[in-house]
Amino acid sequence: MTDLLRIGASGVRACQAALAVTGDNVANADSENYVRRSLSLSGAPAGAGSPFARDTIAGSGVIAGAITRAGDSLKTNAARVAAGDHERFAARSDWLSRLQDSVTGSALDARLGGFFDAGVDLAAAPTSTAARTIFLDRADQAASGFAALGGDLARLDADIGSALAATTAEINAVTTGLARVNDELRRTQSGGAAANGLLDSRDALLAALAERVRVTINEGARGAVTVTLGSGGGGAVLVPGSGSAVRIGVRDIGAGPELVLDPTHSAVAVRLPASGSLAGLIEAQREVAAARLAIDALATRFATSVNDWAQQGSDALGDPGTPLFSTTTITVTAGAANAGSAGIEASLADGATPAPDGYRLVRDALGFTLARNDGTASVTGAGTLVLDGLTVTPRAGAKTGDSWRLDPVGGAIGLALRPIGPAQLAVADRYVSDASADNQGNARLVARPDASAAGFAGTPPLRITVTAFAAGIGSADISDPATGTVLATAPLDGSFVAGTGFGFSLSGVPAAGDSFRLLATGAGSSDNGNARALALVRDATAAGGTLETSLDASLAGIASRLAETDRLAETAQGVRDDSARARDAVSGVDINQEAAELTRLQAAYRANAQVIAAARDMLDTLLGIAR
Amino acid sequence: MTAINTRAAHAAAVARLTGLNRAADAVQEQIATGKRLTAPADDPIAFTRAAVVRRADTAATATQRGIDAASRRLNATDVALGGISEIVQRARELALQGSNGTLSAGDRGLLATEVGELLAAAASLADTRGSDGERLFGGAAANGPAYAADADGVLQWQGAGRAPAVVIDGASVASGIEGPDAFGVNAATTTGVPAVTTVTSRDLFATLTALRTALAEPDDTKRDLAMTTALGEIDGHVTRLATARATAGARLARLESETERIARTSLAAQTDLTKLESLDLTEGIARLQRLLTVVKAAQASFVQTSNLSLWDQLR
Repeated sequence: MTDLLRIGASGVRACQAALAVTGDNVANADSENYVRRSLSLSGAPAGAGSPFARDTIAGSGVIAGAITRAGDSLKTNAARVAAGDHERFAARSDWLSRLQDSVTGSALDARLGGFFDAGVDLAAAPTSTAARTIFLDRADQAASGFAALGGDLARLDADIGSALAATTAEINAVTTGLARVNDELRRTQSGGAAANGLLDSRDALLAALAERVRVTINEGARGAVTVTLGSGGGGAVLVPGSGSAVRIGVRDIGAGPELVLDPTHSAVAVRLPASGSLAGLIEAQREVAAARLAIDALATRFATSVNDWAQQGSDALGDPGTPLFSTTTITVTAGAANAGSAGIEASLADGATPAPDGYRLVRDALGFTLARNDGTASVTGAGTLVLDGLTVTPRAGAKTGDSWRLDPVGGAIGLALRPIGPAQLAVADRYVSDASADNQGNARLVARPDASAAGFAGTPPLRITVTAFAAGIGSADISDPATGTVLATAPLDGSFVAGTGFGFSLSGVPAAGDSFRLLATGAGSSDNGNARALALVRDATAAGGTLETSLDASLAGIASRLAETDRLAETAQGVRDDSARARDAVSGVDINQEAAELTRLQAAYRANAQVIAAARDMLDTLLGIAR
Repeated sequence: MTAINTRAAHAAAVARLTGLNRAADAVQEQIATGKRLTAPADDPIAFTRAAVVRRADTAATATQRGIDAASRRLNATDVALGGISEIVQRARELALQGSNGTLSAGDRGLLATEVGELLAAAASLADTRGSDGERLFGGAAANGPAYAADADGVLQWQGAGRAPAVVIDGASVASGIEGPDAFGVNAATTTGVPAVTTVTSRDLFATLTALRTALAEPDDTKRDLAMTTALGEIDGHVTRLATARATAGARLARLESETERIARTSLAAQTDLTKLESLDLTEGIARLQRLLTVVKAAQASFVQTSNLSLWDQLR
């Protein structure tokens, strides 16, 4: 009877423990990373029947074994990998869409188009001050569009850099946490509530790690894990089975960002595993760097070709045109260790060429010193300092020892409209020419400046008189119209006849005796030759097509990579959700299942209690006989 | 048997509802803006194509403004040339009257006065300005008078170069007629020792001046000779003016046909843009309706299934 009593008691105890586990499962039904527990029950071993251990007749009841965590390590790993893949595309998509927004938001294509269209309007009204002012405004808009986009992309680059730093910091925190959990796991008896709780934390940390970077996980004794970078387990070890974690970092030594191990001591570059948000961020940063390069190249090409164009013409005062755009600006970076709060203002004079190595401004006991970084020149003073056309005005609040770096930057950021007035816009050609109304042929004379031309001497005004012409070949006298003196004789075969700093060519068919005047464009000319030539700048093709089609191609490239990333992200999300569902089907809590379990265990509990009651009744009966 | 993880099932249902709402929101935005493409990534190829078409259309609009300006200039030129043609016709009538030997010196004096007036009127028309204040007959030299009297009091062309041209798809059309092309040139050759200067051609103003002088000439023989020369020159000027007006007219016609072509191209560009960018509204609204129906059904089924629980049955 005492056997029966003991069996019943063990059953009640086991059911109680199992009910507690079920209650725990229900309570944690909504906890993330909680893995469903179950209690394994087994029959208690009977005695051996030896003199020291009695052989029981009916068994010794039940004992509650270890609490096991449901879970399929393969499915869990698949879910982790899928989550990492999705995070990679999600991060890339997020930053690429910001890149796309920056490029479309700058409206650079509309600004460039507006600039060239204003050139057409200028050609239609070459003497109109309104048309010239509008053209300058459009030029300003195009330049500021480039500068704003360049600034946006630089900020985007810096933002991704911060996101990368934050992600590596998170990864390092997670791996450090994992190393600590490994230590705890080794000290804890497995199967208990404490060990199971540690395993839950371990899985949570592993999931967080796998979202950020692709890792391979090897589970050792008592659930301690070894984590290696990449897939296949052959990569660098991030968390060893015992010992402390290895930190990672991201550095950029010129060839784009790369992943390094142990960045602060002995940095070792490792191959970037193509999964996790870290990979997505690094890929996005490469895209942004490529876009910056393309926009900078485009800005430089735009400025160079438009400046060349402007210098080919003649302005409203009759002077040769000056460049429209300045291509360099100065960026100010305050020293990281500055104690004071002073800001400084820096501006570059029009046409100044700053030293390529940049400058350094230091607050010292005497005032401020502005020096070239190559050490070839410096100025010292208390207030505004000027060096190489660079004007620096420090504001109040600087402390001795504070320093600032001033760097010249070109590309998109450096582009700006020079301070020129409507009259200084080179709308007209440098030279105009006309044919005598008595000419018998239909030839036209076109002259253009050519700095390298070194032919006949003499400057416009000139008269060119055809002396002979037959079968496409002839000759002409070049004479001074005032005196009639013949300065030179030139062969006529349609080719460029070089003068000094300029030249002309004759197109069409002249007749002998035809004469042409070649004049320097005077002030207030209504010629629109140079304005018309702006169309050539617009249509000029280089690698990637015209300026505008190159811009379109850059944007289309970003857009198609974004579209591709979005599609991949969508697929990866499907895979992630499916694999997460497969994992959760094993390790998650189904409250309906728990309800059924609870009902079953309650019944079992009642049955075991009944066994105890039966044993008591039997004992009572037996004791009643003796009475 | 696969267990259904309560939390995951709940999260998945919520994610599905969110996805449906996002899709409905995207369609709603397309309907509100009327555009199928809201960002380049929606369809990079169509977006690039649309950018090219839009740019070409804007450039064509700018070209059209250039054509309009050139047309205004050419029309003004044509009006001025018309006025001068009438003046020349009147001068021709006066010259014919003056050739009549029966006229008295006083009558010829009146004719000479009228020729002087005609000369002034012609000189004033030759200095006509365009809308930006530029001289229509000055070529590229626009800020000074097209004709000015030289030291001898003879009007000389002061212009230089050619009138500004408008470029239409690479071909350029000049927007004006230069003074010498419309009114002729003054030319003379000097030969022999001692130098003898022979006038080889006279422009309109020199001819009118010569006519006025001839009418005042008392010597009959000299007058007859000068009148004959002047009449011959006037006939030449009439032809030259007619040619200049025809040239201006031909350029105007060319600009007119380019205007029509640009209008047609612009229409085609708009059609292209509509095809590339615009949303088929009927299709869009139907899609939105379908999505909203699915959203409602999903919400209802979510509420129904999450209400199903064994716990309700435990008493």
